[in-house]
Amino acid sequence: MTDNATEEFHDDLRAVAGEYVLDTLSVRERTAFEALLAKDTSVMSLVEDWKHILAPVLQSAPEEQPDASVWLRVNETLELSASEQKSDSNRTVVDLDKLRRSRNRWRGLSAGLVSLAAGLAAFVVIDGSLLQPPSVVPDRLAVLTTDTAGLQFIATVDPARQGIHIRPLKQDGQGDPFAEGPLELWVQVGDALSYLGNVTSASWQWLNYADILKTEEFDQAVLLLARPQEQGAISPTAPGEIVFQGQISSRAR
Amino acid sequence: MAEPTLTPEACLKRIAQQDRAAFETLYKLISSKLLGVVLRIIPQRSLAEDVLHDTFLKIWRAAHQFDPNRASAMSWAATIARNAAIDHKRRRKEIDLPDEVLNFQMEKDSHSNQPRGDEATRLTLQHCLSKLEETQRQCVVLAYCQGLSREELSEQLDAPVNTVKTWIRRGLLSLRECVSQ
Repeated sequence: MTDNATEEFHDDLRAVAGEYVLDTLSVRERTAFEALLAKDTSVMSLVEDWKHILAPVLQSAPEEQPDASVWLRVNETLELSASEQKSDSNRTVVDLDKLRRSRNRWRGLSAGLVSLAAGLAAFVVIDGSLLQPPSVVPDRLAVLTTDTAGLQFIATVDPARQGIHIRPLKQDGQGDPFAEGPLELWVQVGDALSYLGNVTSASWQWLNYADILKTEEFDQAVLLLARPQEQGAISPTAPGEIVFQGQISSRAR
Repeated sequence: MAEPTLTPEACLKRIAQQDRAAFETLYKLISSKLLGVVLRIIPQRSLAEDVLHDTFLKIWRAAHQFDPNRASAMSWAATIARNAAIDHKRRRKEIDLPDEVLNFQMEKDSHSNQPRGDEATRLTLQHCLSKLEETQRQCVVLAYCQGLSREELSEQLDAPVNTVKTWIRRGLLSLRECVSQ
């Protein structure tokens, strides 16, 4: 490569890294860039560079005093969460025990599902009709199932973008998983449950976990899809009825 | 009672230890700024306040991940607010764009406790953005502050998507060159 060509390549890469931070890349471009990010740590430094450069732009926003009710709601949510952890610990233990028991019933399926998961991952890569993400075989994935065989969800952890890609694996004759409304995606690590966001789409959906968990924590995690306990809650504090669940499987590295 | 003299950075350090008083202090210090960040992306005030609520819960849960060597507390929190707003906007598939054409004014930050390096970075960015061509500057700032996609920028700036792509690319590269000088 000539010096000019090399320089042009670096300019292109730098610009794409900038667009990645701006979030203006198309899905295809983003997926390709994330594959590169996963392989080349020097590309991550370009991304960090852009984050550092652009962050001050946000601080130019004019200040707007929030309504007093916002703090009250934040406080209430924390109070509720704290009281659930302390005084209502019995219920939490029961709920978590229920989850564990419920999970044990699935455990028999798990070994088979791990193989199925590997196959599904390959399927996702090969079959373009399942839309773009993820474009590489993921290191961590889960197949979320119900008590009764049938509809399943597949979820993959995307460490580069710190998000989870999830979609139902729909086959002919199976019902709409969202017929009764959106499902909430929760992650259980040990006894802690964290809400990741609502799943509403029959195609790939991406949910960010950057501010909630570290990627490594997913190695021991279980993903749960639950009905909302409270309709329309922005930050639910506990899941409702668990509809699908699956243990994250990590690819041997 | 919350201590009024804490910096946002000191607040986050204490919040990581589950200090509710520090959390309240942080809220008083930065909630107005964060609501401003969110309102640029989600102009409906009630929805923006829902996202602000969500943002503070994320800050509470993620305070232990804050690294003062990488960013100021304000930048870190503003990025969480921006990401929460963009996620919310995409979930709701909102496409109403604000009418205003962004008039980028780098106002002096009200927090005197901001680290010096952060202030210098901001002044440099202000200077470098002012050197960009108007369309390039609008693309970069609108995409970052309001979460606009190329298609939305194309509509807002009344230009083909490919032209917008070129403006973004040239704008970013000029910005990078200026900042590194």
